[in-house]
Amino acid sequence: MIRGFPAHTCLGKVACTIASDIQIAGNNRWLSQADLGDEGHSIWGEFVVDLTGRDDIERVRLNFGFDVPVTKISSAYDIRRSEQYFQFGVRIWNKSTRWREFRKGSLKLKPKTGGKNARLACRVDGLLIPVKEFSGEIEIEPIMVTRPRSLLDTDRNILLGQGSLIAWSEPVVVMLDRVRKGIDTLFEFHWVSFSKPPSGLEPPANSFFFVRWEPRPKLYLDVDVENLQRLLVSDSKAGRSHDGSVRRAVNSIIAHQILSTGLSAALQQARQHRLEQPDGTGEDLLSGLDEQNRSILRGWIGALGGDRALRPEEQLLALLDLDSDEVVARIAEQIPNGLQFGLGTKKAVENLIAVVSSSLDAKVD
Amino acid sequence: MDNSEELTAQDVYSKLVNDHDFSISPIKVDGNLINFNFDPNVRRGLVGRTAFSPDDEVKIAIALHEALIPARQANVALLRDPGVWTWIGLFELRDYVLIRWCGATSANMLPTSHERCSYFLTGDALVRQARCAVRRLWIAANASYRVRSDYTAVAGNLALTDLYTGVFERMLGLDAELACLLTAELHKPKYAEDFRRKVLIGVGARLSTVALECLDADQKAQLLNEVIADLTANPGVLS
Repeated sequence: MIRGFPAHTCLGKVACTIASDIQIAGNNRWLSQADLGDEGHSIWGEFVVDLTGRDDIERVRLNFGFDVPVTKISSAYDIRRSEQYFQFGVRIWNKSTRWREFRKGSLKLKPKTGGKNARLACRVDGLLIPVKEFSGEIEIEPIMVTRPRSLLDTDRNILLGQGSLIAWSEPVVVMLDRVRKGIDTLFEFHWVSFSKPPSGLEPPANSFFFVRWEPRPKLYLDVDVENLQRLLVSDSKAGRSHDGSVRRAVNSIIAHQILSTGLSAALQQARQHRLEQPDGTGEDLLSGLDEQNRSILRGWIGALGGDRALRPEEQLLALLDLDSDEVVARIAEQIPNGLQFGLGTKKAVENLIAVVSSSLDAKVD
Repeated sequence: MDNSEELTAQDVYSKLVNDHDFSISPIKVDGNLINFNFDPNVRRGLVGRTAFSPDDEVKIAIALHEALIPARQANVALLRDPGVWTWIGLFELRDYVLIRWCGATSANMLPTSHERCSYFLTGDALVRQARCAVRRLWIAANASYRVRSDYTAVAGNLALTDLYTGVFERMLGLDAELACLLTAELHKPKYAEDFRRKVLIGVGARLSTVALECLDADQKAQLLNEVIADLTANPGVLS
């Protein structure tokens, strides 16, 4: 539960190198993203290993490493004893199986050499995640903590207990079934005829899409709109190709509207939960939300104009600490800007204009 | 329970009130049926009851935990399936859920409102896990089993509803050792509800800068004792 900076001398968030590969059941070979080619793109993201629908995966293997420059903490702790004072590892959280644990790694003091300053080399090598023992999303966060039962921070004159957080990195999320990493995967897409809808479905008049905001949010799109389905499901890359440009522009229109609505609904539930449980942490708050609200806030809370350096839980708490007028103003003013930035709307529109202009120029020529 | 993710409290209410059937299918893993052998003695004790005490809940929780061992061993993800919990509530422990959580009486055995039928449902969020009537019991039993390999901590976990909520709906509740320490200590009559709430806030505050996962049982107990001592010495803190 990292909320802001601790009172003691601490490095805060540190960049971490992450590598991972996967093992298919009944096969001893480990497969990396490069081994799987295009298929690998649907599994690996910067901080995500998405195994949704991959029941054949038996284990995931992860390596973490970060280097801590000792100059930043040398005034507080005797760095020569840093291997006794600190330890590095990852903490593993799995809400579905109600599990949290720490797995130790290694930490070594590397003296100053050549142009490199002295540093603490922190590593976790070959962390094995047996997929069958977990469920849902597994969050794995690299952390550096204090090791002795008590350690004096001589800079701030504070006695630290064991496990005090000194540095941490962005967590990696191993997703075992649900995908929650962006607009394309936030919704189940359903193509239906709006003029002859299936029973039980009532598309609003004059619309070409609508959303059902439920644990598995569904986005219904109208197959009656000529070429819409062909465009939106085409494999054409973004860039300046005709289809790609139109697709991105249409995507932006849909995404802006559904994300605005979804974020507002999620914030409303978060505010209600905050009122019911004012003492909870950011993690408690986010964990308490319905799945669809948690997913959209985790993925898109940056669009609400908070401090993007903070974790989503912290951004949400900071937002809810504002008074209601400020929150309304934030939603009205920041969502359009945040979504334009997050969805790359400007680029999409520029590409569309460029494609349309070049078509017109070609006709004139 | 079929289509459980689309089942709402309103749906459950309507079906119960109108005596309509719920759609269910047996659970199979690798072609094998998963058994649910709930202790028949405990099951008999559920019939014709007008109320359920914490002691009754302890017995049900233990029987439920034991009955779900085959499911957990077959595939841990089964216990994440909302359909499993809804089925248990509606088909195996309906009397308990209706009387304890849905305002029913032994005379009519119907929920008093559709809102109350949300106790039959669950979800992935910690709050929705802990507010499902039957999953709540399993969580209490499982925490005890993980820490002690027996069920001796279940009574403390289920002694006070507000304490259970304060512990098991939070991230600190994922650490079974700390969760059982907290309930074992704080369910004692000497602590008032407001004091219990402050202790949980105090523990949460400490854990904002300390990795709980790096503490052993003694250190967790020490942390709890320090928070209680601080609050006893300074009752105005965290008011």
